[in-house]
Amino acid sequence: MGLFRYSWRTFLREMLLLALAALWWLPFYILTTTSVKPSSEGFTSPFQLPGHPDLGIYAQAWQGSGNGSLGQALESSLIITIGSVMALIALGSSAAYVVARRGGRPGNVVYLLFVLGIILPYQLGIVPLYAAFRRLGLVGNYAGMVLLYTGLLMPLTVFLYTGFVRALPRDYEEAAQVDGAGHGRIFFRVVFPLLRPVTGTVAILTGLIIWNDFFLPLVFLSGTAYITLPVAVYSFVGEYGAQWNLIFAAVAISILPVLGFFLLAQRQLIRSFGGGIKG
Amino acid sequence: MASVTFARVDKIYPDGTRAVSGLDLEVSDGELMVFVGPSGCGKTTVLRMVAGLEEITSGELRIGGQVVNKVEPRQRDVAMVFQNYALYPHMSVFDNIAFPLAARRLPKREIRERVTRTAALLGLEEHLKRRPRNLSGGQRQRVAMGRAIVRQPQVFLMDEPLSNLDAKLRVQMRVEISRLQKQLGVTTIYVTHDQVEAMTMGDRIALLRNGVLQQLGTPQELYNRPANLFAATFLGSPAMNLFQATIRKGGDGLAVDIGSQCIPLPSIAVNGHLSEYVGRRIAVGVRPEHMIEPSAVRAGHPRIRGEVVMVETLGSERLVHLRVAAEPVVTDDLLEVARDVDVATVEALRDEVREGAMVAVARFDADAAVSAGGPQEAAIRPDKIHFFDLETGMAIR
Ligand SMILES: Nc1ncnc2c1ncn2[C@@H]1O[C@H](COP(=O)(O)OP(=O)(O)OP(=O)(O)O)[C@@H](O)[C@H]1O
Ligand SMILES: [Mg+2]
Repeated sequence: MGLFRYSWRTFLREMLLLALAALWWLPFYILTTTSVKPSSEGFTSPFQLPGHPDLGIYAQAWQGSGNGSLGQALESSLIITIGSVMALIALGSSAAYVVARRGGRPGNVVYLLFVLGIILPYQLGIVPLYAAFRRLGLVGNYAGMVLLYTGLLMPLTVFLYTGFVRALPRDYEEAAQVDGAGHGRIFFRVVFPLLRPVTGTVAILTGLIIWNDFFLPLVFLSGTAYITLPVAVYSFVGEYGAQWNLIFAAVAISILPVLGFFLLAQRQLIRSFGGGIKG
Repeated sequence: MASVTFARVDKIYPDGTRAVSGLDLEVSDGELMVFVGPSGCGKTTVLRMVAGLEEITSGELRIGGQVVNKVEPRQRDVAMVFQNYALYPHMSVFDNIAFPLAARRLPKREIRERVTRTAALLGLEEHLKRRPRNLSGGQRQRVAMGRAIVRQPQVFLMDEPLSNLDAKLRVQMRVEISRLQKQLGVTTIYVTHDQVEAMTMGDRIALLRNGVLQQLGTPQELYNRPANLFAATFLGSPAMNLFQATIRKGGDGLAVDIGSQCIPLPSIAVNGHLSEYVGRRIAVGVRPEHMIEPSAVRAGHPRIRGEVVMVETLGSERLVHLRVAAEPVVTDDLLEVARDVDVATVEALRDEVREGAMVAVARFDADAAVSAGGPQEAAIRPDKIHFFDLETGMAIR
């Protein structure tokens, strides 16, 4: 107790930190208040609390713009994100396991190719990619988007997994080998569960990238019923240019699932980022 | 059950390290063979070759008569206890022990039955639901044992399984593993660098140094008839006393000059080839328990004089540290063994060389009247003197 005395300086420091934290909350404040004000009020007094909060705006936003309802967009976003992340984890972890354990020159070359894939900007190849996808009938549907994201984010995924596998002691795999397990059992029962921390990292990182991505769904999904949330929200801007309350309500709706996920999974997330494996 | 045969087995690692050279021995069916030797002598490498985790560079390895050089680990039907146990951290104790059975796709009911039986054998019943990280060191060790014995393999391989335990637990587990091994009758290769474990547990001991087999035999054979200086110093605690000496003709037999002392050798001490060394420097070795108080023996025993520098009273006996004016034996073998103990031992050996005097340890009766500072004689049991060629390090027999 004696170690820490609460003084004026401590108090000031705390206030300063609270003020800083509040600064971070400001956008959320504006977002939520504006989304329940009449649209004129949003311009005249952006910082004021709404006089008569109107949740009906949310209902209207949910109905969506001409391009389909927000509910449909939410569904698309969920399907594409979850599908891609699952494919990334399944393929990325097994690919990285082979790359890391195969070692030698072939392993290193493959690894290098993946690293190169992180560095090169995919936008350069977008036109031929679009043409190819179009011919294969992969434009304007879920399968195409999942394939697209799985491919584009595979380098990052393999990179993260490989680093982790390389640091993982081989003992467990050797023990499993001697215990009579085949390659499949070793990977699925022993290695993959030990990769949990990095699997968490991969899921969050790629999940956020895909969830928030605007460009690819705009190119590959516009004009279809499968547009994702960011595109759907953007179409509000075109249609209701002056109605910021509607737009903000749509933004709030699109943030909500991510926020909920973070709140629910907070503890696991922190553990997966911070934790190694403890024998 | 099966025997394990090494036929001229070599192991050279990809980076050129020669870890095992020309290993030639057979572990018989049901035997517990201990591989012992200082750090880095290739013990783990030998074990990993048997498990199939390390390729065999040349030579042949047979398990139960079948050549297994190219057989996958999972087809060898051997079980291994790793030095750090390598328990699967994400599985319960039950699942850890069940893993080898599940890998063989045994029916669930049989798995449950066998795991339960194994757990009972090892006193692990209450811990089956726990994770390895929540177990004590001794419990983890038992789980590792359980995972090995549950499938009744042809061969057990154990890599220093007790080195992570505290001294008391080590003694207890030592007994337990021996008992279990006898009860199950499974051929076992047990690796350790602890000579006490080797002596107490092994049916036979294989002593390794730099990947070369130094001596193979029962613990008693190795202790009583060490084949070379390395074997002589590695086994036994306190270690064998080694004096540099010159052998010469004296009276009606042979005698050794140790420092300024001339000690006549009774005929029982002399063996066939010793006379060939007349006039040459050799190493004379006597174990502490064969250097005893003069009053306890007849007058005919050879004796050696020294100055008492320290007396350790151990209750049942007294260890008398005698400073003898004689050159200590310093060969590469001895330095290596000393290095394995600790750096201070190497330093002490160097000091002795510089001073031209060495400290020998004698084991006196607990009630022997000795005190530090005075001169003292110790009697040597003539039938227990060892002679070694200084150049080759080999025993002279
Ligand atoms: N993967 C490897 N590549 C190259 N050299 C190795 C490898 N593993 C072991 N060695 C070398 O082979 C020799 C024998 O090693 P090994 O691990 O078998 O010794 P050990 O007797 O088990 O030692 P310790 O008692 O310290 O466990 C050592 O010189 C070691 O450095
Ligand atoms: Mg070792």
